[in-house]
Amino acid sequence: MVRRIYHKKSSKVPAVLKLIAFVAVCALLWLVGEKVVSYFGFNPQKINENSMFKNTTFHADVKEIITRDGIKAYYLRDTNNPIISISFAFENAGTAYDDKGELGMANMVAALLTDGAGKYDSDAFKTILEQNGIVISFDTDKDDFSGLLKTLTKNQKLAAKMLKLVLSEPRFDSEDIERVKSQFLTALQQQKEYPQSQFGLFVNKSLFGNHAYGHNPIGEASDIRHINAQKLNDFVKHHFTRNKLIVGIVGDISEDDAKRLIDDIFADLPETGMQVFVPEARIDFATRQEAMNFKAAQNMAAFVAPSVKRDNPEFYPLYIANEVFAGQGLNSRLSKAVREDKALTYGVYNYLSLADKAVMMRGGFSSTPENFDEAKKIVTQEWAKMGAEGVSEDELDAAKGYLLSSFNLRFADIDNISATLVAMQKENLGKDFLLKRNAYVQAVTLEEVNNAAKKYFDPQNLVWFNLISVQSK
Amino acid sequence: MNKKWLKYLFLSVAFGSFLRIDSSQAKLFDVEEFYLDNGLQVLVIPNHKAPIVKHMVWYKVGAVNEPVGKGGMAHLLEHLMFRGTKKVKDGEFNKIVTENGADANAFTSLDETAYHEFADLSRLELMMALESDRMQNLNITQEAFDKEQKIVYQERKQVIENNPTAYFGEMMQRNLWQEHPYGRPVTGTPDEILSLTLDDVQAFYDTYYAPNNAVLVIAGDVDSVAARTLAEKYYGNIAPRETLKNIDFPKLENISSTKTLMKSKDINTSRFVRSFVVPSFSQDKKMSYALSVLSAYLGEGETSYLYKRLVKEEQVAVGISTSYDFAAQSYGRFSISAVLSPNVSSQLFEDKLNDAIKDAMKMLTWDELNIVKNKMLSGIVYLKDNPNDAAYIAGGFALAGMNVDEIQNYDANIQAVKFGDVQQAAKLLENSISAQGVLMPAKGD
Repeated sequence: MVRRIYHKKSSKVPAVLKLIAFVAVCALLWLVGEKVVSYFGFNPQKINENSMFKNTTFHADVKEIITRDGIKAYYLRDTNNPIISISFAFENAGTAYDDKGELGMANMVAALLTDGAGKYDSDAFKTILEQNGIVISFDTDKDDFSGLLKTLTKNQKLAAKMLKLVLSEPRFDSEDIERVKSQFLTALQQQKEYPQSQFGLFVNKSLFGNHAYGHNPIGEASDIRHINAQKLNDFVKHHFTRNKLIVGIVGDISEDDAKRLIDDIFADLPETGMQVFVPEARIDFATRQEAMNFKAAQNMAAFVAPSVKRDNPEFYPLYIANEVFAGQGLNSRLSKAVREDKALTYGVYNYLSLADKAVMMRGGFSSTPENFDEAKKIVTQEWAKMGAEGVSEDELDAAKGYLLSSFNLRFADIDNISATLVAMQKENLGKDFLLKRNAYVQAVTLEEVNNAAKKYFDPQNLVWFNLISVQSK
Repeated sequence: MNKKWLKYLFLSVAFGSFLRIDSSQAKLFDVEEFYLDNGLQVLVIPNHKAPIVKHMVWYKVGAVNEPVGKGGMAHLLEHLMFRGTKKVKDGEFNKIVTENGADANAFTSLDETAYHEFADLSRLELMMALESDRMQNLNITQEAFDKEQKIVYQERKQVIENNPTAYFGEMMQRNLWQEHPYGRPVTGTPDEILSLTLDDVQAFYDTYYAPNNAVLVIAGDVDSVAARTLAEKYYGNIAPRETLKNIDFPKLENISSTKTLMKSKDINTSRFVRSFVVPSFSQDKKMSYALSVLSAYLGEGETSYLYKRLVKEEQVAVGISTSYDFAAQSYGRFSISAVLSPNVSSQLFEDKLNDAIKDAMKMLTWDELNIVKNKMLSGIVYLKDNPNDAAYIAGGFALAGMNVDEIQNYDANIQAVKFGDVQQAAKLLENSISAQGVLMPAKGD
């Protein structure tokens, strides 16, 4: 169309006019060209540069507070809503610390604590919480026993009283114990129905053998049947102690009130209890294939490899290498290769697992049997390529781009923030971690990332576990 | 206020989930609403706790809009929306989103399809540019179509068919809804997925993806003035489409109840489900609030009537819960789900459940009703905290047919439910289409 106009203008006109026309046409072309580019092109950088909102790093000024009774906690004031969230953990009281013959104990305690305390039976206790918008919940992982208290600022005194009662005078009424036992035994039965659960148990057992990390995360049926009120109370006495306690508090509460609230809840806990020793897990990373059969719609793969602890100087470099390899979204090398390009699976992942007694990289995917070997082959190739070639400057920039520009997203949820304050203390990251974290990321060099990639993405240290689907159990 | 350890106990069979508010005072959120000239509805929920924002576009189209035999089309299209437009080629969407630190995803249900990005405030405009681009410029190549068809097939295998109760769940859905499109699985069946074509999906996009068939939700560190400017800038020039079709949902008038007993070698514990076809919010607002209160009274949480009676006292179940799905264009659904105690027969459980429901309605007092309502509302202020929650709830409520006043005054409308309304709701269950099913272990076969 442009050419046609040009032709029309080009006949029987003086040179000067031709020149003017030429200039005019060039201007027109330029304008049209600009339109064409803006129509067909999409320029993220330009959109960001012209954005109404500029990048603002959220300044999370976490304080370390020490209460009158000497309890240390991390505290962040957030007055956006009249609510308070307290996360806490008793370290080294998780499922791996259950005594032999009592596997399931930590979970049973977590389940039963909100079934009444002091003079309130289960129903009375739960009704008080519900009627006042108070959330008290407990959870376990392999390492720690954790808890959450969430309350409206106006109900903080009642909330503190109820949590204190739970930690000091749990009831463990026999009818509640029996009910929760039957729920756990049912959960164990259901665990046998799901291929994903069975595969998880198989991987745990193969990896950790007799180490406490190899236990069934729910517990053992024969042990659960023998748990009684005395044993539950012993657990509380042994583990709910000030020397194991970590506390993070966030919300619409002043520093002085936060200190008082923490004392009201935790100050009367005994200073020490019982220390249980769990050794480091010794894991054989020599490359191999292990397999189980199960009736399922897909095969499943899990792969593990050596990694580093959170305080190791190689942590950030390896973390960034893995961000390129298998990080967020569908843009990672692994997601592109196995899912986006070859459509072999719905999803593939790999992450740095940071349990206290075993760090490793853990990945996995599932796919129908006809795709399975090809998907495994591609993961192995990508693994070897990462080890041999590392990442490019562009990939490093992109990974840092993600880690830096996603930083503020962690401040969406008050319970996540209080849990982060607990994690910062557990990992000894310091109260200024949230102010320094982006600098840590920025400081990582290409050489550091590629050295870590070379060391840890080693095909000789990549162990595979497979669930092979069969027609019947 | 569910216990976290319940993560281990699979209480429900594989049904679709839905929004449930567990527990408020004061307005649910401050929601500001406006419409663009092209018909796009915009909801803004300011939340200034951090420089972050949730951006969501909800299209009023889902699996119910699929022609018979073309199951899974809405969901496959949802996947293809990440596969390139005339401006942003295949692979670029995911790359841009990731490099800018955003979490982007989407979901499809029976009635709706939603796309969402959670991002730093400085990236809001970029997210709006990407999302408005794919509202109008989707470009599906055959290559991308072929791959994504295989991926959704794998998704169905992984998410649905690897679950040993999925077959039972889908059967119960068909039994309840019969010829109504709510009886279809959102994913489509494996055969349907593999029979879809690019033309099918392109036609679906051309018919339903338009600003006048969508709701834009922005929750986070913005005010409504800025939000309006940006909504105009990015979405204002997209032309509305006239081709929207309203579905004639079948009227379900023959009151019937079916009972199914299914035995499976793949399971070890018995599950019980009883579901009822009941009015949704869009069909009967007053009844909808009453059904929400009834569900909270009967089976939400461990202080609920059925839990105390059947789990704690009579010990015929190890877990029981009720739910009411009010968010639907057509009918709503009320469900009771339980895991039976070992050695309890389905007949014994059914008798105990029927007695318990009768007694529950006899025992309900004015005081008890107030306790239930307060349980539902006492913690509602927590929903103001996380902008992700606000966006999901406001968007979901808007698509369920709630206007801004109804969204903001959710708590007042629950408070207004009267004693007689709850009794009527319970009566309604007795005279509704229902489907009951028990999934039992097949031992020694």
